[in-house]
Amino acid sequence: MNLENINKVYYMKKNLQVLKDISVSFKKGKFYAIMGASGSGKTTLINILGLLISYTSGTYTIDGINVSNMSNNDKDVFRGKNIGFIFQSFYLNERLTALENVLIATFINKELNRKERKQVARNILIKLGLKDRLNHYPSQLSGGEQQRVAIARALVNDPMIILADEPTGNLDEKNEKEIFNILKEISTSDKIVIVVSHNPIIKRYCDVLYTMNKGILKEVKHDF
Amino acid sequence: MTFRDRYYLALLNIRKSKFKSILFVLTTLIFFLILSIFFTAKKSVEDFFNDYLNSDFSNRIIAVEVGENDRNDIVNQIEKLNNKHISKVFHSNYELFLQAKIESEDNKINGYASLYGNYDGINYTINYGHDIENDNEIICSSSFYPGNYDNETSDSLFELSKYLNSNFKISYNKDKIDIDSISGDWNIDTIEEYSKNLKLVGTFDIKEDLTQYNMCYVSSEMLENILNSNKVFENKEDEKIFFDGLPALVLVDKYENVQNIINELNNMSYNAYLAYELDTESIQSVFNIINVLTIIIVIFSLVSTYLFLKNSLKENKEIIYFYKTMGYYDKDIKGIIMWQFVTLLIITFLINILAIIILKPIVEYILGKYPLYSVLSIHISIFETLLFCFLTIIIILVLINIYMKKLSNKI
Repeated sequence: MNLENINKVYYMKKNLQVLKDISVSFKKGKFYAIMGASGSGKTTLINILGLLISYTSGTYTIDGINVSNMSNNDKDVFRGKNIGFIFQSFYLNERLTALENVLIATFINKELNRKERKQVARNILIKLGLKDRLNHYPSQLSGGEQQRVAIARALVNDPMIILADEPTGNLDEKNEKEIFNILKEISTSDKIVIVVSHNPIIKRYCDVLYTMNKGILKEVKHDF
Repeated sequence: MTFRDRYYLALLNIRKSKFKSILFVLTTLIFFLILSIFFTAKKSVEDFFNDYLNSDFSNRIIAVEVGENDRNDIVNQIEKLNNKHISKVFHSNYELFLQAKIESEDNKINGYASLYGNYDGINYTINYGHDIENDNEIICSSSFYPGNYDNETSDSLFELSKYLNSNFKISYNKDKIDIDSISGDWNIDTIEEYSKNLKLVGTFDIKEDLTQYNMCYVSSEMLENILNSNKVFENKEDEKIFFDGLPALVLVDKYENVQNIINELNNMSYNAYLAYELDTESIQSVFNIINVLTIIIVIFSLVSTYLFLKNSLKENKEIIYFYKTMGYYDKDIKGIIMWQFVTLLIITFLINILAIIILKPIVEYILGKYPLYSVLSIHISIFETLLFCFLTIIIILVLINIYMKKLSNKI
């Protein structure tokens, strides 16, 4: 993933430039962390990376393909196959079991039939240590377990990129570590993991650390 | 994404926002019910008048103006036309029916009825017993209400099927008519009273035939015999004065042929017109009011649905965003939201139809208590309600498309 001079401006009464000349590359097999205060533009960057919103100027390429040349449908297809999202508030459907919550992400996978999709969803949950929680509803799961279900949902289509927006924002310290460990492990399997977080513990897990301040992204050298 | 997956997610959304779904169903149901009642009322009244035009033979009687010297000639000329749509030509309305006293054997029924002849062009639907086969037989409306009866509630409506095969005493007078040529005063004296015992062999369905409650049919031959002999005139001049100004009447076989016959008679230089013109103006004004109210409610309900949906879509922004993060296509998301609302609409439609079906017999029961309204059948108007349902679905589709486009442009 390569971003060159990416700018994002919200045109309002008083134009608001949220991202300023962002140039950065994200490579497979690495865990990237972006830290910054609220309103610094972290989530906007994640949304641009996830092809959810467009940028005002600059170039964004993935595997050499210029994103601006993609139609909305192409973006949807690409997103479904290659990008997994993890959110702070988990976004789990309270009326679905853990397995069903993961299963709904497989609906776009035309290569698998219903039975196979169910098997894939089950496997990923088991892999994330939720074997005994498959048929539990979100309300019956702890915060950490809920986030693991959300991670399973992000991983179920085997995406190349994982984008996580404050994934530990609602978790205690023990669960924070657990989630960061999982994300770290995911990155080692030749995937790009980009995590936006306030949490300073992330420094211990990430390979590359960036800070975001008033729309400007800077790499921070640190000892791992 | 398959239809099954989309529908699964649509149902999930309904369950997730249960309160809003119920609110949507209830609000839409109110509009559906109001519209259904309007549509049904309109259809029922319209059908009633259409049925009435076709069923009641009085709407098929053409009046032809005649002078007293040419009455017989004109009647003969019309008869000689041999038009297959002309069922019978009467010299005047005095040949059309006989007002007679009618009494049942148990004397419970005792009042006045109009006796008509069973001419070919007069159709009725026998619901009990059989049609007239002999001169001493009579058939009457199954819900019978003889004239001059004091009580006008349904309690006084007699179910005549209970009287099948019993005899009814029919009484009528022979009158002597004397008209003073100077003062113009009429003097009608009853010179003789007659009675006949006629056997009730059948009844006809008043709801089918939309006739009066005190109406009976006898054999046309017998009626003609009675009518030919129940008036005597002091002299020929009195007879002329008596019938002066009364048009000859032409009974047509079907309502659809009435206008052609009128045209044909007018082309023969007669002055022909419909004998009993229905007051269509006041009926039309009632329909106009119903139409205007219907349009107002349709617009109001569609605008409300639009606003509700718009608001709902805005609130669904988060879930749409979530679907997008999972790579769902716009068409899939549109499908999910569409099926979410279409399912609610279908539920509303079914509840509405069920409510109308339950209400129908209740309303009919209440109407049945009053002779004036009891002939009115409630015709549920499913088509119009379904049409409204489709209109709402179209609004849903348009709105979802606009909203998703707007959202895509923002993205």
